Amino acid sequence: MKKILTYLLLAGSFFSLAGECFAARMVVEGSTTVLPIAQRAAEEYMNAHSEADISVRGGGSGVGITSLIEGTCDIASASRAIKEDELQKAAARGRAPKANVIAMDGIAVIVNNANSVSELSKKQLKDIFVGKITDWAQVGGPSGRIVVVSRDSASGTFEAFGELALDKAKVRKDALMQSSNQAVASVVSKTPGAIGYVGLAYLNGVKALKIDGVKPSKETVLSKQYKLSRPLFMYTNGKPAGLAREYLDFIQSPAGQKLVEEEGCVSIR
Amino acid sequence: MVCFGRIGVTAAAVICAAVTLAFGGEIDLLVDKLVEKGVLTQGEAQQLITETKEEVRQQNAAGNNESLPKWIQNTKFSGDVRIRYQGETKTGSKHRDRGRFRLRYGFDTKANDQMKVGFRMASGENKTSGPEQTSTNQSFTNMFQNKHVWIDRAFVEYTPFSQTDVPFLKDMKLVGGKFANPFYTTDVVWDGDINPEGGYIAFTPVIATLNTFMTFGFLPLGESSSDSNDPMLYAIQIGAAPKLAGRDSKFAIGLYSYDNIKGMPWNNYSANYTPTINNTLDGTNLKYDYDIFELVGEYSPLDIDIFGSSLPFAMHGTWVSNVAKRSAGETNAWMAGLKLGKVKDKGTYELFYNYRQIGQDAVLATINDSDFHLGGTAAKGHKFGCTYAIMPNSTIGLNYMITDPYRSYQTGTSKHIDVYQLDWVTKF
Repeated sequence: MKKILTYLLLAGSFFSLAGECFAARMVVEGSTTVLPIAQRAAEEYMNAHSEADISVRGGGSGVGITSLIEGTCDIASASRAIKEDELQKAAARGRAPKANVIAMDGIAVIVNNANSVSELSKKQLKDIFVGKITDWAQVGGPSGRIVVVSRDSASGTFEAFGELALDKAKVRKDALMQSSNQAVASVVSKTPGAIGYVGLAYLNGVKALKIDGVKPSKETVLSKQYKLSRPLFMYTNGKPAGLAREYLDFIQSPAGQKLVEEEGCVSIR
Repeated sequence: MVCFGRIGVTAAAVICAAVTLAFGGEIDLLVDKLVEKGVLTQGEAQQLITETKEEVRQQNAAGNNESLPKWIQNTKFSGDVRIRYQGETKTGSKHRDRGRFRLRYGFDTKANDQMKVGFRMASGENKTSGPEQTSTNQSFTNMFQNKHVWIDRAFVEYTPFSQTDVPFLKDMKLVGGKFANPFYTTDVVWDGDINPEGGYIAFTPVIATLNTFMTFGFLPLGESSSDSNDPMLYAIQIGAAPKLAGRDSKFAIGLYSYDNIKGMPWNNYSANYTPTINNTLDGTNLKYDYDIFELVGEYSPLDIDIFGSSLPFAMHGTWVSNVAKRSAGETNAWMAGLKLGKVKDKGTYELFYNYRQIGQDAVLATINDSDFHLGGTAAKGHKFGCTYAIMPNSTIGLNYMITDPYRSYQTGTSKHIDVYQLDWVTKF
């Protein structure tokens, strides 16, 4: 009797969900920097295509790329390029991550609004984050301890900042590691001596510094004058097809790029 | 995908060809010229350069990988070694200290695009007729005698629709053999060392923003040449991992239905492991049926800033009832707990605490946590501990369990038991 009941349960569940087979579904996972764009684009796309079902989640660029390699997501969003070891792992599993650039972003170096410092050289920036400079007076500000706020190591922004600003040097050990851009901005906005870095979409309530005399903006990011600039990616396994292709086409279209601008990043159109 | 005009497409083709021949600054100069001439916008130029360079990197990686033998490309080896000190204090018994180790080593390999094979060996004590199902520990004993390894996992995983675009069936898995526990559960019901045998089907349909999962298990518990009514576990679980207010959560409901187990000699299917307090017996036979209903879930409502680090905080719990036998207290079990932090890279750490009560016939005593009250049911108490990533791929940890009997009607088994474990674990 139990066996019969179990099989009936199995069959019932199977057929009740079989109808779902015909809906187009997709999972987008990865960067918290790309997350607002991915979510807005998914909402807009699903509003126009009721048959589509797009699930968007964060976790960090590394998490998304791992999921793409393991086949548990369809699109990996990333605020950094895929690493060599990730490419090797993907190749070993017969997967071929294809980069699709959906926007540009500048990594803004931020301080508390009350901080009088408004500019740093790239060398000063590196020295602050590796611990060689520890007091604001050493960079022309009022005397006071510098509190370094960083993203955690799962973050693509952490990786990109390490490469672009620190020449791959390690962030000082006592840095306050945060799990999201919003968390970094929040800590910096509440801590007078703090310095951190975030995507351009997270500048509310904090002050963005000029680096080597250049302020982060759409123009300086696109022209590469602002040195801490990076592309934002959505990786697919091979050339995107089906719903993934339509979703990416939408994000790269003028309508999608308008969402990119509204979310504070830099359009590629 | 990229909507360039005709000139832009021509430019893209020229650049794609150029990038395979030249690198870095030369490509940038070419693209800069095209931007100056108004053929490309600055954004399109950045997109083109980046995507093309990434394409070359991907092709190089694939090329490098192809130089390796195919079987190495498709195989992933992994394992770990754990060194443990375990202390045990029981009412009325002498204190016991044990040094133990655990070795696990195995591989997963792709036989083809739809088929994966897995194998793992593990250490474990050699009891009367083999190892315990709930432990891969091996105590330091018998004057340096060499120790046993056992087959811990051996399975085939088939994903028949993985090459299609049919979403519901695309991720369907059929798995047979001896495999990692496919159910989202806790050690109130399943000891973490158990690798069930038989087969299961798993689906992970994406329904709206829910990350749903369904698992159906067909798990034989024993086989007898003289009796066709072999004991069997049929299991079904349905769950989801949605974002609640943007935060991680996971919930599941399940039924573990045991067939032909009432009246069986309990040690027919567990010859090598005796829990501290067993299920209710009639002589040496199990007195009752077991249809175990399980609710399990966790939710991480916030991150907490401690010592400059933002640590995820999570609550979790489970409620279990043996619906085949209704008796207040004895047939229910529950656990509630908290977790703070997550062990990932060097320097990260995790703390946990939980409290549980387990009725004597709520779950099967031979397969739930064998450390809590040193195994079995009719127990209650606290479990807490911490893990710290002391270096890459290595952690140190402490588990502490303070336990008492809970509504035990078996004489001679009512003991207060404390168990503490200090672990060093290195993964490779």
